[in-house]
Amino acid sequence: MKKRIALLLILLVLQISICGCWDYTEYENIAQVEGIAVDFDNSTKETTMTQQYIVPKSTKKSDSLGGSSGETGIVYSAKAKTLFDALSKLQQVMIKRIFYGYLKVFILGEEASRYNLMDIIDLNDRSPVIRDTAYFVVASGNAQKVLSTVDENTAKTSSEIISGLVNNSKTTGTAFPVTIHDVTEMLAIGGWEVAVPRVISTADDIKPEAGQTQDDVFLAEKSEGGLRVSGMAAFKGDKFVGWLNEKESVGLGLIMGKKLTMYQVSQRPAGTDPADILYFRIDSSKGKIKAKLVNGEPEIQVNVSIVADLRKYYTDQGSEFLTPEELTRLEKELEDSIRSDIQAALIRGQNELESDIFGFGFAFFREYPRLWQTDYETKWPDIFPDVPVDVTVKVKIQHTGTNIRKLIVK
Amino acid sequence: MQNDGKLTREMVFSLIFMSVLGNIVYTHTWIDNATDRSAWVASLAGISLVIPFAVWILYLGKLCPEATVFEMVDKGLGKIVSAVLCIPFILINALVAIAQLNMYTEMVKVFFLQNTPIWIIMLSLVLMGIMFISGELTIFARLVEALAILGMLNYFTSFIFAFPNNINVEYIIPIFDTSWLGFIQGAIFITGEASECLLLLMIIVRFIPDPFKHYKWVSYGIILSGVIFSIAILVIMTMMSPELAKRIAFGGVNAAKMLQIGDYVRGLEVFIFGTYNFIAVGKVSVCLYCSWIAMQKVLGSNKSMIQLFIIGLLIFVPSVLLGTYNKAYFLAVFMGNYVTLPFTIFILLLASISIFIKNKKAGSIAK
Amino acid sequence: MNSTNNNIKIHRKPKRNDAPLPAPLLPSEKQVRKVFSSIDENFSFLNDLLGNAMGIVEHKYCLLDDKTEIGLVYIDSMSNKEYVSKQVIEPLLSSPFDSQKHLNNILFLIQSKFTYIPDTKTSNEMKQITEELFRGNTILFIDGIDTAIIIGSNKSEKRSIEKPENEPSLFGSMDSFTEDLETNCSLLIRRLPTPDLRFEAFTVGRLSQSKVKLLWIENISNTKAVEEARQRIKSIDIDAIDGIGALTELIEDQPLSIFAKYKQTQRPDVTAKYLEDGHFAILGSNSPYAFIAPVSFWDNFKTTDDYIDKSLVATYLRLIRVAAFILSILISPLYLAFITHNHAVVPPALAQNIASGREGVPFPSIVEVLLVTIIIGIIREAAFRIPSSVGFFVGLLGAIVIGQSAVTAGYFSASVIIVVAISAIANFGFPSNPMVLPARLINYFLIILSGFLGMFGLINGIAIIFWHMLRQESFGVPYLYPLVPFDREALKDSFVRMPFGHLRKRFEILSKNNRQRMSQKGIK
Repeated sequence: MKKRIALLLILLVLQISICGCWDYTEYENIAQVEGIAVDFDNSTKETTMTQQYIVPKSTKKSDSLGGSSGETGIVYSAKAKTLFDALSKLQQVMIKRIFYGYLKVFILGEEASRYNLMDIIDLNDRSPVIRDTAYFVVASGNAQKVLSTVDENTAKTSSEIISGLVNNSKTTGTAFPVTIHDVTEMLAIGGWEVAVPRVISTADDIKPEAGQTQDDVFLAEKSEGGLRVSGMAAFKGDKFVGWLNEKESVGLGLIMGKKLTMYQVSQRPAGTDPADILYFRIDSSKGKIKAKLVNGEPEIQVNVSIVADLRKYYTDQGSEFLTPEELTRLEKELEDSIRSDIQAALIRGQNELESDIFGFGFAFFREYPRLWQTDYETKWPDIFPDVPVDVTVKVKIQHTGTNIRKLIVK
Repeated sequence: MQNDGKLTREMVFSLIFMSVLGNIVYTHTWIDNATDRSAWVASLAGISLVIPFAVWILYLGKLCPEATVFEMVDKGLGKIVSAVLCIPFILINALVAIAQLNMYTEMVKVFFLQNTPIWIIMLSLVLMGIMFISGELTIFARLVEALAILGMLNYFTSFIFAFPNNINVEYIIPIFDTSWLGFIQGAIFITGEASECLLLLMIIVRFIPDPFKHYKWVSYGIILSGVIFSIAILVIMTMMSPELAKRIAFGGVNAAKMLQIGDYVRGLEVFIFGTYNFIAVGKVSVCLYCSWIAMQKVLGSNKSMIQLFIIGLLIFVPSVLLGTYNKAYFLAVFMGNYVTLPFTIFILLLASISIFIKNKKAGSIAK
Repeated sequence: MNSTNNNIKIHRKPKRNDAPLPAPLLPSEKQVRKVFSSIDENFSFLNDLLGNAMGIVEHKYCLLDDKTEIGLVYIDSMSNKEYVSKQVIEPLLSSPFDSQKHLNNILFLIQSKFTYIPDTKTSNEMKQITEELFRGNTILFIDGIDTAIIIGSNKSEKRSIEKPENEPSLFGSMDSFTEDLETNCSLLIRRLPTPDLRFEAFTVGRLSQSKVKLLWIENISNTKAVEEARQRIKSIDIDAIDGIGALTELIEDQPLSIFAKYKQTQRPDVTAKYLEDGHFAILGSNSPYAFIAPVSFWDNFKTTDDYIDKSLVATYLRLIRVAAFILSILISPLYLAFITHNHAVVPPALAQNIASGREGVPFPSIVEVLLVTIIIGIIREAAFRIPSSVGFFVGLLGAIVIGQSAVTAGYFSASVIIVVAISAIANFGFPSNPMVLPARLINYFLIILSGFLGMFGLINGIAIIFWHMLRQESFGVPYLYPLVPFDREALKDSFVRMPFGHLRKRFEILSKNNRQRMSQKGIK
C-alpha cells in the first residue's frame, strides 16, 4: 500500500517538474496595458489601435532618473486593415508581452463606433484576459488623441484620469459609468439600447512626426491637453446615432434610476437674472419605469423621486422664514427643473434619435413577457417614437441647511 | 462512527451530492433557449425527478442486501448476463469522465494556464483520482465530505460579494416567460444529466447499511444538490442577464470574473475555480471507482492496481485525443439526452426481473 | 463492566513478517541462574558480572553471635548508605536475637522484625538481583539461604519541579514533569485522587530497561484504545529507548506521515485534563514528557488557558491560531501563484510596486521564494542553538543582512521577504511543537506546486493534503475527528470553546459509557 502511494506521488512530482512551466511569466516581463483606443478611418477603411502601458520605475536606483515617463505612460498605436492586424503590429514594437488584465478604460472613436462595435465586443466577450469591468467610453473625434493626452500638472496617465472621471461622473449627473460588460448586456437584451459616456480631449490631433513612426506604427505619442467626461453617446443596435448633451444626459440618468448625487438649479425661463435662481443638491434619486397596455397600445409611466438639500435661498422672493409652504414652493421649482431635463432627454431619444436607450422595451417585456416575445419585439423600433410617456416627479427637500431664516443684507 | 466499512449518513449524503454535479455544471446552457428565465426552476425540478429512480435502487437493495446492482443481476440471470452488462457500464462511466475532464481542462486553459499542454492537466487529475480511490471506500467518502463542504463554502462566500452592486433583480423577475413545453423539455434534459449519480448509487448501495430504511439520506442529498445548483444558476442569471448567461461556457467562473472587492481584488474567478476543480476531481474519481468495481466483476479478481491503471489509461487517452471543449460538450449533451437515463432504467429493470426470478426459484424450491 | 466500545476501529496494519534477525544475546542475558547459598560465591559472581570499576561495595556482617553472616551489596553512587546503615544494619546488629529460634526463619525475621525500612522484597533470581542493584537498591545475602532480600534505598539526584519551558501559560499551574517517573506519577495522582485512575507498568528496552507506565481512567477511557496501546507497547523489541520520544514512533499509527498523532506535553494539568476527557497517557522514566493519545488535529490548537479564559476570548484565540496555521502554509504559495501565473488578481497599485521591486533581481520568483524560505529556516535553526549571549547579535545581523542589504543590493525583492517573514512568524502562532515543522514541510510542497502550475497546482495540493490528513487515524480516532466524521456535539470544543454549560458531555468516540461530565445543576 505504501509503495503504491509513494509511486503515485513520485509520478505526480516527476510530471510536474518535467513540465517546464509553460505558463510561468515573471511580473517584470509583462507590459501592463491600461487603456486601449480604437479608431476607424472611413475613407481608407482602416482601423487604428492605440495602447497605453505603464513602465514601472525601478525602486533601487535611488530615484536619480526621476522617471517621469513611468508616470504618464507610454502610448503606441498602429494602423491596419483589421483590428487584429493592428494588434500584431503593436506587439512588434513592444519588448514585453502585452497583458490586458489591468485594463482600466476602453475608448472608441466616433467613426469607429459606427462600424466597429460588434468586433470589439465579441473580442472582449470571448477572450477572458480582457477585463470586462473596464470602463467603456466614446471619444468625440479621434480616440487616438484622447489616449495620448498628457496633462502636465498631474502625475497620472490618461487612462487613469479618464477612469477616475468616469467613476466620479455620478456626482455630476452628466454621465454614468458603463463597463464593457454593461455594453454587452445592453446589446443582448431586447428593448434596451446602448448609451455610453463621452470623453472630450482638448489636445490636438496626433500628426506623424519624423522619427516617431514607422509604416503606420506610431511610437511614444504625446500631446498636451486636458480631459473631460460629460454627455453620453447613444447607439441604435450596434451603431452610433448621436450625442446627448448635458441636460439630456441628466434626464437619461434620472429615468434609468441611476443613483445620482449632483447639483441642480431651479428652472427659470430665459432672461432671468442669475441671482434669482435657487440652488439645490440632489441627495438621492430613484427612477422606476412601468409599462402598461391601454386600449391595446403600450404606454410608459416614469416615476422619479428625488430627495434634495437646499443650498441657496437668499433671493428676493419668498418669505423670510423657511415655512412649510415656502418649502412646497421650492419643491415645485425643483420639480419643474427636473421635469424639463427629463423631457429634453425624452425628446432627444424618442423623437430625434429614435433609439430606446431608456429601456422602455425591456420594462414592457417584464410586464408582458408573452406578448413581447410574440408580437412587440420585432415592431418595437417602429412604434417606439410614438409611445406616450407619462412622467411623474416627486421631490422632497429634506435638509434645509444650518439656518432657518434667510440672510438679509442690511 | 465506522461500522465495518459501511458508510455513515454524512458520507452517503456527500457522495450523492458530489456525484449529481458533474457534467451538469457545464451543459445546463443547452436548455436555456427552451427555458429562458425559468432555468433555475427547471433545474430544481429536473434534479428532483431523479429521486424516484434512486429510491428504486434502494428498494432493490433492500430485497437483495449487500450486493451491487450487478450482483443482483448475477443472482437471477447468471454471470454471463451481468458480465455483458458491465461492459457498457464501464464505457458510459468512461465517457462521462472524459467529457468532464475535457470541459474542465478547457476552462483551466482558457482562464489560467494558457500555454500548458492539456495532457499535463488531465494527467494530474487522473493520477489524483487513482490515488484517492486506491484505499478503502470510507476514506474516499471522508475526502468527498470534506471537499464538498469546502467547495460549497468557497462558492457561496465568493458570490456573497455580488451583493449589492451586481445583483439586478429585474433580470429574473418574470420567472416564467416560456411555454410549459419548453419548461418540461428543459427539466427532462436536466434529469438525464443528473442521473450520473444513479451510476454511482448502483455500486455503493452495497455499502449503505439498511438501504431502504435510509432512503432519506439519498433523497436529501439529491434535493440539496438540486437546491444548490439552482441557486447557483439563479445567482449567475441575476448578475449577468439571462441572455448573456445562456451563452457562457463555464458556469460560475464567467460570472465571478465580474465580481470585485473594492478596487483591490478585481475578479474572483481564481477562487471560484477551486470548486470546479473539486467537482472535476470528484467526478473522475467516482467514475474510476465505478468502472473499477465493474471491471472486477467482469474479470473476477479483487482490487488489483493494474486494473485501476488500465481504467485510468482508458479515461486519459481518449480525453487527450478528444481534446476540445466543443466535442466534449456535445458528447455530454448526447449522453444526457439519450444514454445515461435509459441505460440506468434498463439495468434496473433487469435487476428487478432477476430478483423476481430468484425469489420465484427460491419459492418454488421451498415448496 | 468493560462493555463493548465498538465505536472505534483500529486500522493499523500488522507489522510485516520478515523473519526477524535473531538478536544477539547480550552477555548479561546469558547468566540466568539462581542465587547461591554462599555469600562468597554470590560476591564473586557479582564481581565477575559487573567488573570492578562500577563502584560496587560489598561488606559482610556477623549476626546471631557469629552463627551466621549477612552480606550487603550496593552500588556506591546510587544507594543511600546512611539510610541503609541506620535503618537496616543498626537494628540488625543491635537487637537481641534468640539464636536457636531465630536461625530457622531468619529471612522472615530480618524482614519483619529487624529492619526499619518498609520497602523490602525477596528474590532468588540473579537477574532480578542485578536489576535491583542497578536501580540503586541494596541487596542483603544471608549465608546458607539462597534467597536474597532487596532493600529499597534509592538515592539518585533528581531535578526539582520547575516551570514548564516550552508551554508557557498565564494562569495555569506552573509545575512541569521531571525525569523521575515516580514524581510524575505523584503529580498526576495529586490531581486525580481517585481509585479509578489505573496504572500499568512495562519495561521496554533490553539495555535501557526503561520503565513505562500506561495511565487511564477506568470506565471513562475507551478500552479498545487502551488495549491497543498495551499490545503495541508489549510488542516492542528494541535494545534501548531514551524516554518517551523514541517510544512514540514505535507505537503510533503510520509513523511515516508528517502529522503527529499523539500529543506530547510537559504539563501535568494538561495531562490530567486529557485523562479526564477519556484519553490515555503514557509516562516514561528519564523523560519529562507525557504522551497522550488518541488525539485529533484540533488538539494541536488547544491550550490550558483556553479553559481559564472566558469562552468568547478563548474561541477568538483558537480561531486566531487556526488562522495562523493556514496563513503560514498558504501565504507564500498564494503570493507565488499570483505573481507568476494568475497576474490579474493583484491590485493595480501593488502590481506596480511588485513589478518595480523585481527589476534587476537575478532569480526567477520561485527560486527566490524557495531560497528565502530555506535561509529563514537556517536562521531559525541557528538561533535555536546559539548561546544567548551571542543570540542578539546574530538576530540583528540576520535582520540587517537579509532584510536590508539583500534588497538594496538587488538579490531579492522586498515583497518576497515580507511574505516569507509573515509566514515564518505565523508559524509560531500556534501552540504545538509537533505541528510547527510539518507546517514548514507542507509550505514547501505547496510552494513547488504553485510555482509550477499556479492556482491549479495550489488547489490540487490542498486536496492532496486533505486526503493525506483524512487517512490518518490515531488509535482508532480519525484525525480530523469532529469535522469529518461529523459530530455536532464534539464540535463545541474543537476550534471554538463554548461555555462550560455546553460542554457537559464527553466525546462519544472516546468515552461511550460515561459521557456526562457535569449535571444540569452545574451551572445556573
